[in-house]
Amino acid sequence: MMYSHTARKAHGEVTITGPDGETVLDSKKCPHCGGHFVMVKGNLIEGRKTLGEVARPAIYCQRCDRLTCGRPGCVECVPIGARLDHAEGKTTTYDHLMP
Amino acid sequence: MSRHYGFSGSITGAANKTIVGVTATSAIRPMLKRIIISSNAAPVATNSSEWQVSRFTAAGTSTAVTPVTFDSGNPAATSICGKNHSVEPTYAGVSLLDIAHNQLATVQWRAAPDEEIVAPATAANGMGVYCVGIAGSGVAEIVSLVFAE
Repeated sequence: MMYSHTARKAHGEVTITGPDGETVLDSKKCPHCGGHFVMVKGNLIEGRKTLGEVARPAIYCQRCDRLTCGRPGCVECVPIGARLDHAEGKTTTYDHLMP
Repeated sequence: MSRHYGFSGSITGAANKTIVGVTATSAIRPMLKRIIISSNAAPVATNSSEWQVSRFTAAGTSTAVTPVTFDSGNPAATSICGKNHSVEPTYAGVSLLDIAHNQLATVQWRAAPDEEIVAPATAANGMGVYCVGIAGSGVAEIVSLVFAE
């Protein structure tokens, strides 16, 4: 088994089991969209190769003290908890930042 | 402590085809804890496919599934589960997890405690696992997932 720690504090794990053995990678959770992304070394996020994406840098959110996925919609700090509350019709202090 | 449930679905991989979905109610927020993507196609070939997890705002039409509870002492799941969608859900927002799967391999993703992928407690909202596209021919793909509520 090849274990590759790609994040200092992992929020998830991806295990790929194939004919050549097993590979384990770390995933991080974006504090803004709530999605998981696989880190590659150098604070980079793996891009979607089918779309021709290359690895992009993970952006650090000082308010959340976590790495975000770096997508345009996640650059501004709107925590996932507030997004879920907003979707449920509750009032949050971030409402002016969400459609 | 959250209660855990699991179920699975199977389709022939095709672009923009949802294989399984978990729909919330106004009472609970379903939390996705684990996904396993594999294939039982024969003969084995190097077909590959891309899968994503996204939140949806309309559940579409699917074959209803009763998820299995991990603890027989727990009540039935409140979330509504479905597989093999005939009408696709209305996905909103970005993909929350992106997995490339080669038919020769099995891919498993699992979240650490309190780091699950969560959907809002709103009727008809939820999360779906769908095939974005395939390279090669579409083959039988199986997705099993574990969620908590």
